[in-house]
Amino acid sequence: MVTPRAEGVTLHLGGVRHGYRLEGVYREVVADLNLRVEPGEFVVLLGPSGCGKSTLLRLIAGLESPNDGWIEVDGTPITRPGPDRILMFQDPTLYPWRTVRQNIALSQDISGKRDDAAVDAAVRLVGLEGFQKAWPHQLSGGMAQRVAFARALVNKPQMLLLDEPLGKLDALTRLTMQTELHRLWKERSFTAIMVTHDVDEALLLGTRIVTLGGQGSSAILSDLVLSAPFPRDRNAPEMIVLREKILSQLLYSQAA
Amino acid sequence: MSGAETTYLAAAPENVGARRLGSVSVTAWLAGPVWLVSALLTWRWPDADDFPDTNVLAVGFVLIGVLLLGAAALRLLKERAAWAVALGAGLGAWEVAQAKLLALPRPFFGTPQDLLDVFITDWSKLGNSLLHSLGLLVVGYSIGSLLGIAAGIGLGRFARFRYWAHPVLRAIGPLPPVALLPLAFVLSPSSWLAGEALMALAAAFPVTVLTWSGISAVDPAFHDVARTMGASERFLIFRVALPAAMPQIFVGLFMGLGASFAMLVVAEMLGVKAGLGFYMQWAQGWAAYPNMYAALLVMSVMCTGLITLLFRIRDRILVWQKDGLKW
Repeated sequence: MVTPRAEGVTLHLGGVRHGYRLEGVYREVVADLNLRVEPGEFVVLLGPSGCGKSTLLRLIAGLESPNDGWIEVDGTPITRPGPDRILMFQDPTLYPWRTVRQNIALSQDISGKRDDAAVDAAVRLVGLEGFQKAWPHQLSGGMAQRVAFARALVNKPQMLLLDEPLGKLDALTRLTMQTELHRLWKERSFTAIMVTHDVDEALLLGTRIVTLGGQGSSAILSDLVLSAPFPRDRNAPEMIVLREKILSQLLYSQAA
Repeated sequence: MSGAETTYLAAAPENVGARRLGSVSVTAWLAGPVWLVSALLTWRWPDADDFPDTNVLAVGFVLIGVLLLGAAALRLLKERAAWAVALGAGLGAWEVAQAKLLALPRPFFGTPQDLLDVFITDWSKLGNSLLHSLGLLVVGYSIGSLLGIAAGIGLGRFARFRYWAHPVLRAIGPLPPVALLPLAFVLSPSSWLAGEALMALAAAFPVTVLTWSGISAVDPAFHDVARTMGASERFLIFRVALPAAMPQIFVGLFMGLGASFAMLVVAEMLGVKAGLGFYMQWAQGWAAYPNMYAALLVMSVMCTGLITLLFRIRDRILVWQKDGLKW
């Protein structure tokens, strides 16, 4: 069993619909979505490209408002972005004119509340002690993504929204960063919602895997709770069974 | 046999390096004597006509020659040594060609001592002209640049401002500010004010366009990162969009400075009764060609000095850039 933890927040979505107008034609990407995420869960959203996973994260982050339905965090409706929910992107998107340390301290500059001890802690958390004065162009892809993690975690957000954060890293860096991400989630115990295309990654990190898909706009195809203990072995028999199950589901939804 | 050859080949690169080092130090030791020879020619070869300050010039050459010898001894010349040699030889050749042999048509081409004489006799007027030009330029350029940056931000981020400002920018911007000079002198109560306004306009156009372009090209993801942390519109403009657009803004500032130089000279030649442009115009009117050359020299130093200053500021602010042009 996954032990529910005290930290993190509850996320509740009800009847969420959203779409865009493209060349005069309205296209719905998210259709009537209902989801409840408990504190400290690590929910992985899987689904084919263009199924609205990223849109869903932007809605939860508050960067956009849904056309219909409601989104609540701990019972409070979301109307705009807030420092309690940090969205992380596929690219590290560090500001090139800020040093590593200044990038990590970004949210503190925005809120106007400097806390050097928290920045120090975030730097240590991702193991970048020697690189605080470096410029982003001097970093490797994995290091830049570590900085992005530190920047997201510096003010101890209760929810982290991850939009394929490891998608652009090379295979080896990706493996180490998966371990790293799991460690961060365990240490900081935030509620995590991660979008990925990688079924293995989902099986390694998630406490729950939600598969999205469908014709035109997306709905939830399946909602799996993973109770296997960490660290997980990707070659364990039950993992292989699960992988096959999820993959066939994704392929089926794409063929439909 | 082949063993010896191999040794020779292996040693060759070192030899080349040593010879190159040697040639640098030879050039460095050459610079002082070249200037001293120029001084000797200036002093001992009789002038072809009655030129002023020939001996002062010779003393000047001697001083520079001695300083260069000292610099060579202290190994300060380095890669500038060739330039020191060329300048000394060039000035010496000019002196011989014009002061001793009268090889070029006078009075359009003067002698080195003519030029030196202008600085000795007319330095206060030249200095005042420089200060006046600098004052006119700095005020107009600064105002124009600040307005340009503000307008660029407005165009890049506020649709309502863009609606009104864009057609105005398209109508006035491409017009050479020089074309507005007659109008400005008629409308403005003082020629100084007219000059300032046009110089500001000349600087503002490129700064506006490039700030606008820089602001609109900012990666939307940069905004999302700050917005997801709850950033205000103010933060997004001044702490995200503006720093991201800085490289482009500096291109605009550089182009605006060039446009301001042009506007400065034209304004001073046509209406403003002071400054280096006015001095040049006056010198030409009196056929005082050495004064014209002197003013040109001062102007060149002023312009290159200001461009250098701008690049220094840029290097300071854009220290985060991977690489950039070095002035």
